[in-house]
Amino acid sequence: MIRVEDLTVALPGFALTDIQLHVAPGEAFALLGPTGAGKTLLLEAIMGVVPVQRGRILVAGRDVTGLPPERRRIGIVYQDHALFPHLNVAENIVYGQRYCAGPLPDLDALIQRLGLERLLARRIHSLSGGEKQRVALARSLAVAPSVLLLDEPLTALDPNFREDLRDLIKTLHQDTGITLLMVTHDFAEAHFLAQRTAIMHSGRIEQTGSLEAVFAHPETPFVAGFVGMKNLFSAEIDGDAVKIGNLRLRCRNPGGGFRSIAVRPENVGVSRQPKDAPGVNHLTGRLRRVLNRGFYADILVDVDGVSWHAIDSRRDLGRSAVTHGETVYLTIAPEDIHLIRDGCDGGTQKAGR
Amino acid sequence: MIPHPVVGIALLSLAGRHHWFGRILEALNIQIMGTVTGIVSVLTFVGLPFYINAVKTGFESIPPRLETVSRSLGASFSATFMRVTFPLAWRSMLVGLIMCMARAVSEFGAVVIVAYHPMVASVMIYERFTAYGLKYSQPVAVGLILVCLVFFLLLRWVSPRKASIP
Repeated sequence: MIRVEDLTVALPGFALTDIQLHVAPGEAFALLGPTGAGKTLLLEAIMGVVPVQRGRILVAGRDVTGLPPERRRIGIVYQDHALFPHLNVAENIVYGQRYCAGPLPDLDALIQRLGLERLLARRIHSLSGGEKQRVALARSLAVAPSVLLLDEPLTALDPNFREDLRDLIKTLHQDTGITLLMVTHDFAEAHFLAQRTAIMHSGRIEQTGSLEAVFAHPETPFVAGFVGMKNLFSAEIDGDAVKIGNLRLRCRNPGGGFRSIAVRPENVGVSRQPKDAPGVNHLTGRLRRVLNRGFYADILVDVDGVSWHAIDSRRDLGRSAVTHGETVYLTIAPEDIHLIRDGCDGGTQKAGR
Repeated sequence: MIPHPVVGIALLSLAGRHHWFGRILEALNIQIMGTVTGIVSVLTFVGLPFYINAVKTGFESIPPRLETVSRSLGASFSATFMRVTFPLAWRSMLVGLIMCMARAVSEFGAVVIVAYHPMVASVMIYERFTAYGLKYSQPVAVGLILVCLVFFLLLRWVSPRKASIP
């Protein structure tokens, strides 16, 4: 439904470079990335409000690269709603209908579906954040767009409204089959709403794929760091193992051409006593830092000069206080060591979150 | 920034028959010195920055996303201006107009150079004060204060409401 080919958008001080993106009809697709990665700029390029230097944008098989926004049939819902403040709720919802030539959706059903019946005469400034976002959704859907772009639609809402609206977007997507392209920072939101994702960084798409694949098998050090693989090291392949400095860890299918490894903190076991677990990598280190996160703790362990992040669920180390410098034992299963072809700068590299 | 008598001198220099612009005006039978046209020209010159600043602030306070959304809903550039931009900016345009007029009412230095006659209120106050004294200038001054008060009340009434633009 949306196809972006070799797209380059250059602004003073920032550029989107060689963007390739394909969103299938009826798919919900999430654009993920840190702040400043260019996600919103990409949405606006697809919308047609920023000039494109190179490449093509196709929507429903039609090349819309040179078309003005009003002829693209692309709806957008922004994080800050962008409702027209001089119009009431009803006037906002019907705003675009006079410009639509094709069949329009049943407005009464749409209003009922979004729970806006009692708000129609209200002024915009008297609405809550959740109500504003529902009006913004109704306004976009009222003109039957080919695709709907969502720019962090849930970010500005408080947690209660956020869950309600998230469920509503999911149901609307399932029922209407509309193609969704959304920008989000929230992994849970992306997993709940989207089937596939693209991770953006510094104006480029680093990796595209299903959410499961991207989170389980990051292809670059940046993506690994972004999806939470905090243990990210440059490594050398040595037979059936990888070498990080003086450490040698067994891993699955090492093969050739890999230059980095990544391990999720939750896959690093930590205990006060050595564990008798055959087939896994055993490391001994000293506790450097414990950060209490409520139900769990972030732990940093130094092993021969290499810092490992682990998560203690309050079972492994017991409930007694741990002290800095205390000797602890780490276990890492070979299958939890993820191999990455690109090298990472320095000993470790963390990205994104 | 420019002293206002200098504005008057500059305008008269431009409109004189020794300047090509003055010759064009003469050919069009437009006279600046001592005419209502001259007064309007000089007051427009000194008041225009007030109008431009107020309107500029008004347009800049409209989030560009409102226009983006309008166009995504099918409205053309001109339809977006008429249905979104103008309704949100008209108050600022009116504020600019009132500011411009208020500035014009208070102008003396440039007007007195360009057109002593026909007399505007500020020149009349000056003339009455210098020719007849304080007592004779006071009625015109009070009238001018009332006009300024009307402008002030109008300004309060039409100024953009805080909640009108997100």
